[in-house]
Amino acid sequence: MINSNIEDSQLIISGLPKTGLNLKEIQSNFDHINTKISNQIKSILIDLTDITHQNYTVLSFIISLGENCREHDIKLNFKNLSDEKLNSMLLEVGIDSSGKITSEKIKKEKRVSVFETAGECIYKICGDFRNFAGFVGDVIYAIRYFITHPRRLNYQDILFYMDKNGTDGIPIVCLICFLVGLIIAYQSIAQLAVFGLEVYVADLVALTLVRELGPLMVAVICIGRAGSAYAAEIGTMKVSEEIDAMTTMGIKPARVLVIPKMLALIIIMPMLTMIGDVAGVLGGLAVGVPLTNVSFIEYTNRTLSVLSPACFVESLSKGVVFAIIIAVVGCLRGIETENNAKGVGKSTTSAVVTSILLVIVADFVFTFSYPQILGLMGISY
Amino acid sequence: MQKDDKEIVIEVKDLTIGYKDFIVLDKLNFSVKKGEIFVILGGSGCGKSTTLKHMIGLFEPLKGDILINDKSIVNSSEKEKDEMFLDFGVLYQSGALFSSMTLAENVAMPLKEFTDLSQKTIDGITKMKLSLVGLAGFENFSPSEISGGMKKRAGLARAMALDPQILFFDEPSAGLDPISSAELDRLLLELRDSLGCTMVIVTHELDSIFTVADRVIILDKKIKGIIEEGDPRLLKRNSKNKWVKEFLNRSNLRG
Repeated sequence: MINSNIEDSQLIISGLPKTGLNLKEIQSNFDHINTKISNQIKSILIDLTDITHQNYTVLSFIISLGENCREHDIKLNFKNLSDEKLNSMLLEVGIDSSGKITSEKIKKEKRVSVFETAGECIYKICGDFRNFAGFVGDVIYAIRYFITHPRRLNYQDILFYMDKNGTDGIPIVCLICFLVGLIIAYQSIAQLAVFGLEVYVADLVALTLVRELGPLMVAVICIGRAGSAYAAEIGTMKVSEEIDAMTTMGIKPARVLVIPKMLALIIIMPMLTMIGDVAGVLGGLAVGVPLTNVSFIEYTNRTLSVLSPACFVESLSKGVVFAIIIAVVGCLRGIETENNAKGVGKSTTSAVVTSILLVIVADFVFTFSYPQILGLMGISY
Repeated sequence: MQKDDKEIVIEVKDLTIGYKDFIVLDKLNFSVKKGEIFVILGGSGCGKSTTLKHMIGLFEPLKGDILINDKSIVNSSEKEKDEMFLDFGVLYQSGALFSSMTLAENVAMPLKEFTDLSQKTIDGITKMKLSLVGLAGFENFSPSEISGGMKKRAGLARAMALDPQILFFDEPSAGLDPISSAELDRLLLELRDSLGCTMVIVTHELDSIFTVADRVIILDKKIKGIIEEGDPRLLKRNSKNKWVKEFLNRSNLRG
């Protein structure tokens, strides 16, 4: 143990071992010295006999002690500081041999006001919006390019993504939409039976599924399967400098990476939506017929009569709109990825969350404006 | 050989780089001449890779200008920039090969994108470029199946696909064993002699600097600029700056 004596408000530390201290000893000595520090002590004197700059453990002990001294406003002095190099190292960490301690805390805690945080938030949202607008511009520019140079488009890529995000997703789309149809039918039977209106279960399931939940469920599945994959794929490319390489080769990432993915999704999502719609209606049928007095023929007849072509147009158009949103957001988040492994995770999460938000918003706008547009065209809905 | 008479291909004027309120390098001025192997040197964290990324137009400088073949890469429009990108090739630190494609597809990508060559011609050029860097027979390998040194060589083949007159290298020998690194150096010299390319290399591998470099600039963190410029072999003996001399002689680096 290091010796420490108190002499007229000065704590003298001596006997620092030449062989150094191990981690446990640093802590126990530090604690021991701390118990001796009180209001009466104005300065600490450390005897550095035989201690050279190679004795790092003692140096780290002194640094921790220095931190404490600054907190308690105690001077730190040295005796027998003969090693020039040790002196300069102490100076480097902010401990002056004359007793001044200017070392900075390793972890600075800064108080941030609410207004500052709010301002930063708004700034970030504006930046996000600007990036989004810029990216959409890039995509539109790329689309224009492919209209004039259709042969430059990589059709193999489109087929690849159609297969990966479309074909492979059919089972899960069927299952989820079937279950949703089933749930809607079951819930509505309970409500409508009170008024003896079970026959309308068919209408309710068909309209909800085809107009609303079919496209929405498919969108959610595609966000999970395609949108997140796009973000992660492009994000990983960003981290391994592939995007930089592409840019300096003069190849536009929007052209090569975004358009094939977007086109694939635009083609495949209406198809998936259609499959989902059918699966959902079948789900309703699976519960609607056995649990009510409505016969199979009656149920199918009601379903077919209530579904107008306009409903299917709505379903398919929603599929297209959602596809564009999912592809653009997924790719944008991928390109925005920060250059580290954490960044990929962050951008994938962000792609999913932003896509869901934007899809719901778009769905809201679409649902309200679609009947108006049909009305203008003189079609009843 | 009168080097000074050679035409200047890259000129950097008053380049100031950094982030919003933190300047990394202040007012850099240097130029690269045609057919020269120019090395940007410096300790870790002095901003040499960042300087390179400014020179290839990936980052925007706070102030200053960079001219490549007398055209500014800083103030040019997107379209002009796209044309300038075709004048140079870049080899990134990790090779930056497109991991979803084979080596041949990687090399063929710029050819497909910017030329109207037929598939057969492209195949021929691709094979030739890959054999030029010693990767004949590896056309159908994907980047994950080959070693780090091979990745860099494949990256070099891709950078040279369109026969650019300028090549940029970001730490070409980082992470390579001494033999692969020496091979890469030999390859660079060969390419310079046969194709007459101008090369800008960012590195801190002393061995390769003395083998390949015609001229170096040494950046310093403290003065935020160029501390020394010239032929590394001469600087090693004659530099007046003590730190530079120690750096090049690898002695007492703790300063």
